[in-house]
Amino acid sequence: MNAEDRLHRAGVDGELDGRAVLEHDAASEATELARRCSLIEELDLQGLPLLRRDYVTLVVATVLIPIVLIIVGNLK
Amino acid sequence: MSAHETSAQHAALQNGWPQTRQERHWSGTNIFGTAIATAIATWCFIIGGFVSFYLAAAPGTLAVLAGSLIGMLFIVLALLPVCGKYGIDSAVSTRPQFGVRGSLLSVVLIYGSTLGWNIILFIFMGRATNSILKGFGVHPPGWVTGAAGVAGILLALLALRRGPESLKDFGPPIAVLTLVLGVVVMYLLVHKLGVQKLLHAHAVAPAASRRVNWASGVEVLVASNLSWWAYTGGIVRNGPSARKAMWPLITGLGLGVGVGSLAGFYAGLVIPTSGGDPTQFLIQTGGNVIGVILLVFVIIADLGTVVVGVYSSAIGLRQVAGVSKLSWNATTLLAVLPAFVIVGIFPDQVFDRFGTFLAFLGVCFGPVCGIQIADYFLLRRQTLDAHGLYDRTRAGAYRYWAGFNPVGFVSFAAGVVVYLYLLDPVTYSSRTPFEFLGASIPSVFVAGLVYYVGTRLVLVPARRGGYEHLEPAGRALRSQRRIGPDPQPGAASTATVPDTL
Repeated sequence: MNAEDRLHRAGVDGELDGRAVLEHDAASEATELARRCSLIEELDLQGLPLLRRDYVTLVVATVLIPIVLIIVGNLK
Repeated sequence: MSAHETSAQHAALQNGWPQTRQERHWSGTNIFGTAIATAIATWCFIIGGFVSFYLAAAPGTLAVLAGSLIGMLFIVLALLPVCGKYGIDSAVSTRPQFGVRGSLLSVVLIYGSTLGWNIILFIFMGRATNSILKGFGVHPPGWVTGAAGVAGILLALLALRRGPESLKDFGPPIAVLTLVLGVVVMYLLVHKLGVQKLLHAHAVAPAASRRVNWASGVEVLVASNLSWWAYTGGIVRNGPSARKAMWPLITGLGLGVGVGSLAGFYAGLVIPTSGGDPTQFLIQTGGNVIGVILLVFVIIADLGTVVVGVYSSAIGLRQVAGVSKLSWNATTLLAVLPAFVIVGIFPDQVFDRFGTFLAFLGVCFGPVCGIQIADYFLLRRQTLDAHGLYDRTRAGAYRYWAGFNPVGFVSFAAGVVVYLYLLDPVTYSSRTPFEFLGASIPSVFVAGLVYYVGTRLVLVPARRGGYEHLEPAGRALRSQRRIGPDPQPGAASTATVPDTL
């Protein structure tokens, strides 16, 4: 059962005897997931993105160079 | 860092939850080390060996390098921006395209590809054992290959019994061992057979068309590198910067396989019956003593690689609701269960169909890449709803219909059909325009195009999948009016419901 399901179950079954600890864990996991989702939507906390020049070099390395290799190979 | 923070970060790592930039500590060197450790294993020998069917040494070398780089284009575009930005893994990154439940498809694909690679390595271990026995003058019966492969599975399970934590550093030493093995194999081939023989060796089983041979050689590497889709998200999400991860990925995963495959490629050319498989020629070229020692290295390297592979497969399986309740040992057993039958009973038949497995990788991961690239760059403007990635309620952004996005599945099917039309993965017969474009590249583009059109025609009008920003302005405003607060009689319009409508 994943955290989202656990949160739901914790909400529904949280008062049942003998399962309180498990559901407390489930609820805290779901809270942690929700906290992380909120945090990661903030620009300062996201990973640094590729820049335009990175995309240009990517195209050079993975499109233009292979084309050159294939052309050179076919000349022989 | 407090105990609570450590525990929270551990949970985030294990469950594929977002990691903030500040929590990610892998440098470019760490990413490169993990990438090259993932890519370089003894499977490189048979990837290269497969190219030797189509091309001679000089053009084949160029085709191997070109295919390696082309494959990485799609992997980088599909995963690096999104996984780097949100700190999520490959499987979670497909939820916007397939739905929160439909992304189970990607878990199945990850399971299939890691299982396939593991099976290849288990059979490798069996064949190496067989050859070692021959080196000692024993002529083993046919079942020895399967039995030794099954013994390899049991050894891998035994190594994983203590849990996953102690296995994280297996990769780099195995990559170094395999690279050394490759260098020694190349030295043996050159020393024994000479450079001239290598340069003048013909392709083993070329097609009639020169263009088809070229396309096939490139396609083998493109498809092989597309299989790194399964691993890339898990690597990238540990680094704080997509910029610092790009070149380590291209060189480690892409060129790692390319360069690593060359030894198998050359071996396949000069020893045509081997198909690049070192277990079939090390005794012959190195002599009994050196050959047996090298074969033992092959077994050790394979064992290390499959332990990491089974670990990855088990972690992937634990994303599935029912499996997450199983014990760790039961999960690892489940991860290799089909391998017992396949390796134990059909080792040679499966090994001989390696090309079909390679095609399977292109068939499956090419369309996924195309769909992700079209969605993230053309439709979502490089922004996801982070809560929506995990929200299975009706309000979830990526809930679609019961958690599944039919447009994603239709697009995937379209990509698969295109691939199968261009290249039959069983007979390896091809149709035009395979000789110009290969099969994976058109498959990527068609899947992405179908997804783009399907989203515009179906998902946007149906208001599913968080594409509200693509709605025509008037319609979007009308819907805002519908869901906005009821204005007081006689009051001015609210800010979200302009009075121009």
